[in-house]
This record gives sequence, structure tokens and C-alpha cells, in this order.
Amino acid sequence: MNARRLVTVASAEAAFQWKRPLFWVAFVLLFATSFLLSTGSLSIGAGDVAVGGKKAWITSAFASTQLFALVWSLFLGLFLAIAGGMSPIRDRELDVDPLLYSSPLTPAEYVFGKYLGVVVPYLLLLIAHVAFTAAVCHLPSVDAELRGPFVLAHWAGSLLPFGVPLLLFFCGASFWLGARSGRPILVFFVPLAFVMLCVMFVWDWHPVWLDARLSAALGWLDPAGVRWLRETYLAVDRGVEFYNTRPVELDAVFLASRIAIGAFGIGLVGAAVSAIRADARGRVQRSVSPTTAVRDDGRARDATSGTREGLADLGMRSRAPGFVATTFAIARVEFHELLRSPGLYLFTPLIVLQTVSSAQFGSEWLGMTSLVTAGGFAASSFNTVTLLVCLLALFYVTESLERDLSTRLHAIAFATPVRTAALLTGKCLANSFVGAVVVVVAALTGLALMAYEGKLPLDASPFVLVYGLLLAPTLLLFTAFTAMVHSVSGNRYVTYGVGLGALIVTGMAQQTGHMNWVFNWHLWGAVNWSDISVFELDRSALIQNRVLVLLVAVLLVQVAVRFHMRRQRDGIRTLWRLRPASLLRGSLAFLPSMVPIVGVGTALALDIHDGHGGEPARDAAKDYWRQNVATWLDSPTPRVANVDLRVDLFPAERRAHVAGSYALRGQDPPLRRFCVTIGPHYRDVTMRLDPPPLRMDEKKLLYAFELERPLGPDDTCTLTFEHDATLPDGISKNGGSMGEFIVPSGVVLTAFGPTFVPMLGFMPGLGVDDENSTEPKVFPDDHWLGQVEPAFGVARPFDAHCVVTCPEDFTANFVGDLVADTTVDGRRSMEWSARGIRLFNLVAGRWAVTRGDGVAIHHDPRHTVNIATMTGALEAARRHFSEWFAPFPWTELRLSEFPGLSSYAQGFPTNITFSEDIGFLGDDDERGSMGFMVTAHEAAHQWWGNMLTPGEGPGGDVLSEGMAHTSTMLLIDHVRGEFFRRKFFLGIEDSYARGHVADAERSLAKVDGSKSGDTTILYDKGGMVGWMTERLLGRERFLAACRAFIARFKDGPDFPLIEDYVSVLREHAPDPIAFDAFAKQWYFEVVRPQFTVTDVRSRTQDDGTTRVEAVVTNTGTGTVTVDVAVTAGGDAFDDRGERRPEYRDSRTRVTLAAGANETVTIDCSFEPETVVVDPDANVLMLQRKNAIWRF
Amino acid sequence: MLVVRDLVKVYPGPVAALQSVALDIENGMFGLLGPNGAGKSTLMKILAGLLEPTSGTITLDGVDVLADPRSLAMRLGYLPQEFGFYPHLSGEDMLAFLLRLKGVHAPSGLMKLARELLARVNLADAAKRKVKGYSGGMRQRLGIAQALAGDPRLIIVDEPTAGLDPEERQRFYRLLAELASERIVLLSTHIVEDVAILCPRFAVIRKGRIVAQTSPSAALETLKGRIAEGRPAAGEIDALRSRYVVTQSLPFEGHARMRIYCPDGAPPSGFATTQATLEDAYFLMMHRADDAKSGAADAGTAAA
Repeated sequence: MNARRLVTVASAEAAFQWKRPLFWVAFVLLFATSFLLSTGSLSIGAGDVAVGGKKAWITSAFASTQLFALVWSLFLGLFLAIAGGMSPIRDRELDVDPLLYSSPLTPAEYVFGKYLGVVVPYLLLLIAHVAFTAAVCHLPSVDAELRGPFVLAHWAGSLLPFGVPLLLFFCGASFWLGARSGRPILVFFVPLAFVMLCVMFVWDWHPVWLDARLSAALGWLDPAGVRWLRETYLAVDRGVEFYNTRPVELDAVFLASRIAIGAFGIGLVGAAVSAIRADARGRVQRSVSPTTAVRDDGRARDATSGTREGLADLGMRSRAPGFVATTFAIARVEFHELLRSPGLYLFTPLIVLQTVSSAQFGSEWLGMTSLVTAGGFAASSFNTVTLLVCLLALFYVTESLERDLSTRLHAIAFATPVRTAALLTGKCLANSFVGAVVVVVAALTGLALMAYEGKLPLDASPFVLVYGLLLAPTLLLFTAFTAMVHSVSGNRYVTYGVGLGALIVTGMAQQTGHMNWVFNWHLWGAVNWSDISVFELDRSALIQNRVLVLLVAVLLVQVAVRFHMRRQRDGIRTLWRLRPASLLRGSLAFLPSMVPIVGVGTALALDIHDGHGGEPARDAAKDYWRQNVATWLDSPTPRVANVDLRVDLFPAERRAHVAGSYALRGQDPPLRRFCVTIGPHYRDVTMRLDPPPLRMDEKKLLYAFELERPLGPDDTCTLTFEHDATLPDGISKNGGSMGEFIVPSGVVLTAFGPTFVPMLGFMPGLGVDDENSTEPKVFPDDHWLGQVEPAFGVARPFDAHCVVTCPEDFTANFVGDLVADTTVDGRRSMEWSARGIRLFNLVAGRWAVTRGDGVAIHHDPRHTVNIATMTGALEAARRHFSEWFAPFPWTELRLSEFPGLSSYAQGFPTNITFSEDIGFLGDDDERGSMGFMVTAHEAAHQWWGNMLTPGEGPGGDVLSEGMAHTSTMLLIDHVRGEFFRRKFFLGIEDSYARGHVADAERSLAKVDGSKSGDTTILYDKGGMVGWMTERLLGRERFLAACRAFIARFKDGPDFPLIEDYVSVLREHAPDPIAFDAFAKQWYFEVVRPQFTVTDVRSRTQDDGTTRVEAVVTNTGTGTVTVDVAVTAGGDAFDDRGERRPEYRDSRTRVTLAAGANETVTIDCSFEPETVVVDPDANVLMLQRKNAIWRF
Repeated sequence: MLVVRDLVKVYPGPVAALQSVALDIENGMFGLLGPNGAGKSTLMKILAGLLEPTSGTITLDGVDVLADPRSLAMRLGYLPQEFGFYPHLSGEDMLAFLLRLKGVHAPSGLMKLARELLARVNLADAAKRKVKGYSGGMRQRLGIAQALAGDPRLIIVDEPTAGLDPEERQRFYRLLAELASERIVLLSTHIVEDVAILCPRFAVIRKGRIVAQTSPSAALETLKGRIAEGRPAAGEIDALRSRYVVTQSLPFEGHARMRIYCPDGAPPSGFATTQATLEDAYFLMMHRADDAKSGAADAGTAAA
């Protein structure tokens, strides 16, 4: 290799790169991220800034490394692909390469020179980016709280391990692709596909069951290094102090992987040399080789003989080519070309992989997955498939339109009488067909997954609906849009830029809540699937949206045809045409296409405006809050003594007619006034109070009653009401989910809010958004000592009577017991009576019923796969929770399925509701059973929530959600065994590890659900600490404590908080001192133990046994007693949860304080394989993967 | 009849690629001669409907083809100077595809017609093979085949013989000449000999202007007895250049072989009158066009 020639090529390429707009666009983009970082818009997701805690520094090693690793991998890929990959393609298109190949320049000098010419400018760009970011982040104008001291290593440290390997890899890979394939489409799409693969899969895929070694390998393989950074440092929050002050320490394996990735990139450049060399030879060979070249042997006739017959004998006639015939002729030829595209065979499996990952991994919860259903698969992969197919259309349509230019066929084809519309439509049709093929493959993959699971019947119709009716118009629109942009700009890069820009801008509008049905052309976030209720929510909006999209596609095709550069335009004439009069005349041609667009768009916009997400509805709610908050917030209300309701359900009309009364009793001190809140979707409301009040004011969504006589504890009055409730009232703004509704296939209504019955008092959450949100209520530390109000529902239980009428094929379940069930004139009437409840709900649907011992499951007749498991879970829950906690006070425990228009489950007294995708369609395998788990959890709320209603205040929800998790763990342990109990523990431990925010975490006694990360504390940590408490006390003592606790607090009037619970537990603790220490750290402090196993030694003793010594260290916080085991024979259980006979272990127990270590000595009679801390998953810890040593 | 009037094309710069071009072209072959960059391809592209002129009119048999480009396209056979094909299609499929785009029909069907046309251009044996394996000459012949498709009223061929061997070139010209009896064939070339052989009429274009529109015989008639050829010594060349219009000057066996235009018919010493060629006429037209331009510039300067 001649260095001088190499440098010459590199210099020329570098000079070219410097001058390209592409380079400067990359420059601007990267530097814009520096500004974002300097404003604090990008930072480590740690810290509790909301409470004024220490903020994460933007200058920390972790902040800069995370920023650079993410930004470089997201942005640089495409730029490097164009810069590097297009370099050999450009030379080929310009026919420069034959000249180069015929010079003394060797392929190696050419390729490596080009490679260097791209790498060096971009390396300098990275250095400049780092320097600039460091400079702007340390400017005095930057918020001092975000600025740490300047440490050169924090900034420079990202460059070598993260920037350089990425640069070498991307540039090398794209160079190889360009040289090998000569196809721009591969060069453009592969980096995008890579980024998407990283974002959707590599960076975030971490199911509980994933082996730590496989997870680590993914981190080493990730060229961006983001997975390694996340999994090593960021996934489990270590707190602001750690991130602000510590460097990013790279382990040796990661460093080696970075070197390997960079070397692989350079290796690909070497492969590009071979490709170029082969190409250079090929050019010579093509002209001589009989295998590749066509012999020009048609010399049969004498040159002087001319033609035999002229042209007349051929009988040729010309007439205007038909639109349809030429469209299909073009489409056929295009498709022929597409089939030869290697990209197609690369992208299709890639898209399928992305689709499967987005559909499957998204449904994972606590290590358990949902079963694949056709509709669920199609809807959950909809965003991904749409994005990928749009990208495919963007690249393929653009390259298809460019193909005529690059092959120079345009000079002939454009002079033919073929219509431009046919030319464009044919190309778009062929490329849309490619998109359609990809979508069909994705659908077939979904069906194949269903077939593999073998639990649900195969059904392709949801794919036809979702991919066919919803996605196909999007594909057509984006294809037309791409063609239009290319026609107007005539430039490949402008088309890519505008196309990607359109995707980004609309994606951002979606993210920031500025999207609506009119503009949501790709329907991102708007498609919810339900087997039971197929697009019943917002169906009219969906139809109008799709019609609008198709109309716009037609207009775009028209614009594309009008501006297609088939005939090169004259600049002067173009200027002439830009005069207002000419423009007006020109735009008149588009009028026939624009009129229906404006018509449908306006109608849709008006529907949105008038719908429940529209401005009037929002204003009404805000007016309610504004006008009433000062007067009615926290004002006392009468106590409900009895509820009497008649609800006439008209699902087909999305309406309910509600008439009823509340028997009310006064308070002490006596009430002079109170208010009632109604829903914004109520119509024809009548409200009456007996005895009549002095005054009744009807305000916005609120009735205020001023009483003639103060209402004391012994005084009663009756509130009578009647209204129509339409739910949803009109269409939404942009689709999405809905928790309570009346749709033709199902009804879900609760008394949490005024969805179907008026609520006593002011609803502080109604009409609240970012503008008027307030800090959560602050309770004093001794709040628990006084009389605490219930967290939800009313303090004193009441009785309820409800008559529900519905279509005869419906069943309507209310709380309590069914006392009458009749059908008259096609209407079914069900009478319900409930005693001693604090809340009620109503759910209705067309169900099959499966009954068990004191339980019933009302479910969609098609969703039977988990019914046996769920019935068993419900029976077991009712029986065992009754034994363990308190007798079940009602007759029947029901569970009803509702359409999955929103995913949740709720446990009202006797009347549990599940959306279809929870439990009913959960998978039941070696990873656990979602059906069993959710059923057990919701059933537990009959005790922890309904019978024992927690108090209002910090920690209260732990007594419902955390204890429901603990109860679930107990039931799983009791019914399904230790294996599944461990799985559940590890699942919620992983959820806690990844979900908690270290600096924002508060103790179980203080957590109130208002802060980021609180949910996992309430549920997961609450559940684990409950289990650890059970381990400490022993099961019988623990259950006795639970029984005593429920008995003491179930009837009020003081409702319990954590302190009350702990005090009852203490009474049952065998060692109160130990219990106090335990309770202090787990209930009243925040501790997070972590363990490492190091310095492991083993030796065979004289008696043939093996002695293992290991140092176990608690690198986290808290003092914890844990088992340490030496194991052999693999896992303790097989996939069915049976103990494996070959598994053996030998144990010891240690108690370790924070930072303490202890050398454990364990003798075993087998060849040791691992040393494990907490082998039975009984103790909450972070980074469990570090608590194991493998020999 | 193809009539071009006041055709102007200005590229951004501004660069006047065509200036008030006017042509009347009847049935038969018409040659368009001019040096590289004279505006030939621009004119061809405009005539083929691929480029919009800045101003002017073009009619074919009375139809304004600028206003109705599709009517032209249906009667046009166009062989551009630079073109290509989809490399992965066979010659037969490629031609059939183009026949469909042109709206060509034949009683025997399109595929058979494509094969017949390929036979006419001597590509019958390569019909089933992919275009990417074709040599430059074969691609050119495929281009010719598509230009003939549909029995067009107007055939425009822009530098058509590039890449053809002499044999093929002769065959193609013969074909064009045969076709020209019933249609207009517009041949754009910078090879003067081609025009001399084929075209009863031709125009010379220079820097966007038509500097002459005549027939080869008329052009030669004006030069009769006024072209002289000689082998001057090296020291005489500059003097000769200053006195005569030199139509050819080539080194030959150690001397310069020159052809000069003698307006008075009296050749200088060492030169003898010889038969004029169309190439002599062409260079003389170029020279006169330059003179007229510089004369106009001189007149302008004098007026100032």
C-alpha cells in the first residue's frame, strides 16, 4: 500500500466531506444536543428534584457518557452511512471507478483512503462535540445546581470507549455495504434498522428470566455501548450522589468488546477492499466472459442489405396507452427489480423480528407474558410495523423514482406518451406491494406464534382489520407523500430528509399531546384492540380518519403528478407561474381533491371539538374546579346510609338511564350545606333533596345544597336523582384507552367518580391538569395516632339495592347478591342487594359463566383458555384468605371480564372486574401464571381494601396493594409451590430494582403514590417486605397478626396506616427486639441490600467432602440475615415446579450490616458449582446477579 | 411538417442555450450539425418534450406540441444521446415494457413485435439475455429498436452511431433512410460525413443560433473551385491563417496538410484547387458565424 496515494485519496475524500451539507447538518444536530444538555433537558433519570433534593449534574461522567453514547448511536449512524456507504456507490454512479481502477491506485489504497477520508472528519466532529458540550455545560449561565466541577476525564472518557468503536464500526459497515451491494437503499436502511433494533430490543430487553450471562453478552455486542451502561450502572438507580461523583468504570470484558467492535469495523473495510477488487475484475470480465456477457453474434445479415422490410410489415399501431395497463406494466417491472433487491430479504426478517419483539416484550409483566392473540399482536405491533413500513416505503419509493435517473432510462421513458400518473402510480403500487408483503409476513409470524403456543384458535381477521383497513391507508399515504416530495424536490436527500422529518415531527406531536384524529395520519397510539369490542370506541373517528388519509393520498398523488420532473422546467417560466394569479389558477386543478379533504377534515375536527376530549368538555371540567375549589374542597358531606338505584343500560346507544336515591345521615358537627358532583356527560339531570333545602344552586357540574336545618348525626335526608349518562360522550381527541364506558359489547361503571351516579362532595381531581395541579396533601408524622379517614369509599359501610335492566343477551353484575333475575320484552332485569359495602360498581356484558365453589367467572365465551386456572385461583383465594385473614362476608365472589379498552383489574366487594388482556389471556408456563397471579391479587383486595380499608395518608396504600401482593405470594406458595413463589418474588424484585428512584424513594410508612417510582414501592416492595415479615414471624404468627389487624380496624371509624399494622405485628412477634430492628429498617427507613460473593476457594477434605470458603459482602444498605448456599446440579426445580433430584445444596446463614463482609465456610459432599446468596429468594436485594459465584 | 419558431432556452446563469431558433423540417432526413455545446441536445430535448423552452413555438403537422406534449409523444421515436435500461430485464422484456409505455399495438402481440424489432436491429440472438450483459453497441441497437417502435411520425436521433461499429452504423443509416421517406427523421450529430451521406437538408447550430439551413449540394455549390489543398512549410502556416479561412490543418508525414478557402478561386503558391467537402462548408459556416458576431461587436464598439 502506497502511503502517498492513500493520503491523497483520504485528503480528497475528507475535503469532499467537509464541504457536504450533510456534515454540517450532523454538526448542527450534535451541537444542538449540547445545548439541550446545558439546559438540563437531558440528564440522568435519578434524583428527587421535586422535593428540592440534590440534582443530577449535567457535567458528571455518567451524564456525558449517556448523552454521547445515545446521541452518537442515534444520529451518527445515518450520517456515517451516507458519508461512508455512498462513497463507493457515488463513484460507481459517476463512472469514476473505471478511471480509478485503471490507475496505479490499488483497491486497498482506494478503500482505506476513502474510509480514512470519512473517519477523520467525523472523528474531529466527535472531538469538537465533546469539547463544545463540556464548554457549554460549564458556562456560568448554566444552573449552578446542575453544574459539577470540571473533570477532563468525565468528558474525554466517552470518546475512546464509546465514540471511536462506534465510528469505526458504522463507517466500516456502511462502506462494506456500499461497496458490496452498490445499493443506496441498503446503506440508508441498515443504520436505521440498527438504531431501531437497539432502541426497541437491545437496549431495553431485560426479562426477569433472561440469563445474566446472555444479558451481559448483549451489552458487549451493542456497538453503542448503551446496554452495558444501562445494565451496569443505570437500570438500578444508584442515587444522585453516585452519578454525580463517580467515574464510569469500564470492566476489562467491555473494553475488549469495544476494541473488537472497532476492529470488526476495520475488518469490514478490508472486506470492502475485496468487493471493490472483485468489482474491478468484474468490469473487465463482463466484456469478455461468456458467462456474464452476451455474445454479439448477430452478424448474419450483410451490412449493406439494410432492413428486410422496413417497418410497415410489422403492422405497428400507436394509440394513447391506457392508464391501468401502463400502471400495471410499470408495477410489474418495478416489482421484478424489487425482487432482486437483497435489502428486501434483509429487511423483511428484521421487521418481523422488530414486530415480534414489540408485540411480545411489551406484554411482559413480572417475567410473565400474555398469550399471543391475533388482534393483540396486530395492535401492539401496529406502531412498530407502521414506522418500519413507512421507512421502507420512503427508501424504496425514493430509490425507485431515482432508478430511472440512475439507469438513464428516463431519457427514453419520459419521452413516451405514458401518463405521469401511471408512471408514479405503478412505482408506488409496486413498492406498496412490498410493504404489504412485509405486513403479511408479520401477520403470518403472529399466527405462527399463536400456532406454536397452541392455546388459542387461529384467527386472521384481526390482522385484516388492523393491518389491512388501518395500516394500508397509512402506507398508501406515505408512499404518495414520498412520491410527492421527490417530484417537487427532484432530490433523493431532500426526500429522505422531509420523509424522516415528517415521521419525527408527527411522532413528537404525538409524544407531547398535540396530536388529534385529523392529523394522526399514522394512528400512532390510537389503536386499541379488544376481541370483545372491535373498535367500538371512536369507531366513527377511525373511519373518518382513514377516509381523510386516503383522500389526502389522492391529492398528494395529484401534486406529485403535477410537479414530477418528467419535463425539466424552465426557470423563467416557473417564476412566471409563481405569480399569484397563476398560482391560483394552478391550485384550482387541485380543488376537486381538496374539497372532500376539507369537508371530512372539518367534520372530524368538529366531532373532536364536541367530544369528551374537546375544548368545551375540558373547559367545563376546569370551570368546575375553578368555581368550586375554594368553597368546597375538603368540605364535609353527609354519610351515605343506603343506596337505591335503577340503571337501565342501552349499550347499543352507549347510554344509561339512571334513577336513584341516597339515604343520607348528618355529621357531627351538623352540616349546614353540602354539594354533589355530577358527570359532564349527564343529560336531563333532575336532582331533589327531601326535606327540601333552603337553597339549591346548580353550578357547573355541581349542585350545592344549603340546608334549612343543620343535618346532625341523627338527622336524615334523601337525595333523589335521575339522568341520562352517555359514556363516552362523543369521540376522543386522539384515541387511546378508556377505563369506564358503555359500548355495544360491554359496560364498566364504578362509583370512584361520577361516571354513572352523582358523587357526594367536591371531586378535587376533576378539571385538574398541569396548569392547576397542586402538591399532594402533607400529613403530620403523628397523623396515624388520630382518627384517620378511609383512603377510599366511605367510613361507614352502607347497604345498596340496585335494579339493572339490560338487553336480554347481557348479564349485569353489581356488588352484593342477586335477588331476582327476570326477562320481559327482550330486556333482562337483575335485582341486586348488597350489605356492608363502601364502594360499588356495575359491569355488564355478553358472557359465559363458569362457577366454582362460591365463586363465578363471567367471561367472553371465546376466552376460555385460563378459566380453569382463574377459577381455581379464585376458589383458593376465597377459601385460604378466609382461613388466613377473615371469613368472606358475602355469598359469592364474582369475577367479570370487560373489553380491553383499558388494561386494569379492580376488586370491588364481591364484584371483581378484569379487562380481557389481564389474566384471561395471560400465559401459564414455567415463568408463572398471569391468570393465577392477578386473580389472587384482586381477590386479596376483598380483604385488603374492602374488608380492611386503609386509612388516608402516607403508607395507607401499602396495606391494600402491598398486602395484596404478599397475600398472592402466600397463595402461590401454598397452592402452586415454592418454585412459582420464587418466580413471583424475583419478578417483583426486578420490577422494584428497575422502577424505584433511589433519591425519591420513601419508606413504606411514608410513600403516598405521588412521586415517580412510588408505584413499585407500594406494590412490589410492600409485597416483598410482607413476605419477609412472614419469614421473620413464621407463618402462623404472621397470619394471626393479619387476622387480629383486620378484626381491629375493619369497621372503623379509625382506619389504619402502616404504624397501626406494625404495632399489631409486633404483638405477634416471637422476638420483639429483633422485630423492631426489622420493622425500623424495612417499614420506616429505606434500605437496599446488595451482595457480592468474592474470594471463593474450595478444597477437598480428607473425608472426601469439599470445603468452600467465600467472602460475602453487603455492598448495599441495611442489616440483613441471609442464607448462603453452595449448590450443584443446576436449578433446584424443573419447568413444572418439581424439585430436581440432581440438585443439591449446602448452606449457612450470615447477618451482614451495610458494607460488612464475612467469610463463610460451607462443607458439601458434592462438587460445588455455585455459591449463591439467598438461594430461596426470601430477601429483597438489588443486583441479585452479583450475588452468585460460578465455579 | 415540423415548424420551430423563435425558440429560446435560457439556463440559470444566465446562459442562452438557444437563441431564436427557427426551423422548417419536412418529411425526410434532416441533419443538425454543430460542435459540442452548440445547443443540439438542448434542441433535441425540447423537441422530444423532455425540456421546457423559455419561449417559442413548435408545431408538428400544425399541432402545438409544447401545449400538448402527449400528442407529440404518441408520434415520436426518440433515441437520446445518453440513455440506459433496467439491467436485470432481458432485451425482449425491456423492449416490450417500452412498447407498452408507448401504447404500441401489433396484431401479432407485443412480445412477438418486440422480437421482430430486435431482429431488425440484429439482436434476435440476445433477446432473452439480460441487458446488463449487453455491450455498448448492443445497448445502442436496443435503443434504436425502441425508437422505431410504433411507426412514429417523427424520429429524433441524437448522436445515434456512438458505439456502433461501421457495419452496424451503415445498417442503421440505411434503415433511417428507408424510414425517412414517409416521416421526419431528425439526426443530430457532429459528424459532418453522416449528414453528407444521409440528409437532403441540414442546419448548422453554433452557440445556440442556427447559422445556416441548407442542403449539402447547395453548400458544396457555393464552394466550388474555392477550396485549395497544399502542404505548406511550418513557417508559412501563420501567414496563411491570417489570409485565408483554414478548413483543415493536420500534420501529415512531417508536414502540415492544409485546406483553405480561397474566396477568389486563386490558390496561393504550393496549393492546388480541390473538390470541396461538406466539412469545408461546415467550417466555413462556423467561421462566418464567428466573424458576424465579432463584426457585430466591432460595430458596437465603433458606435460607442
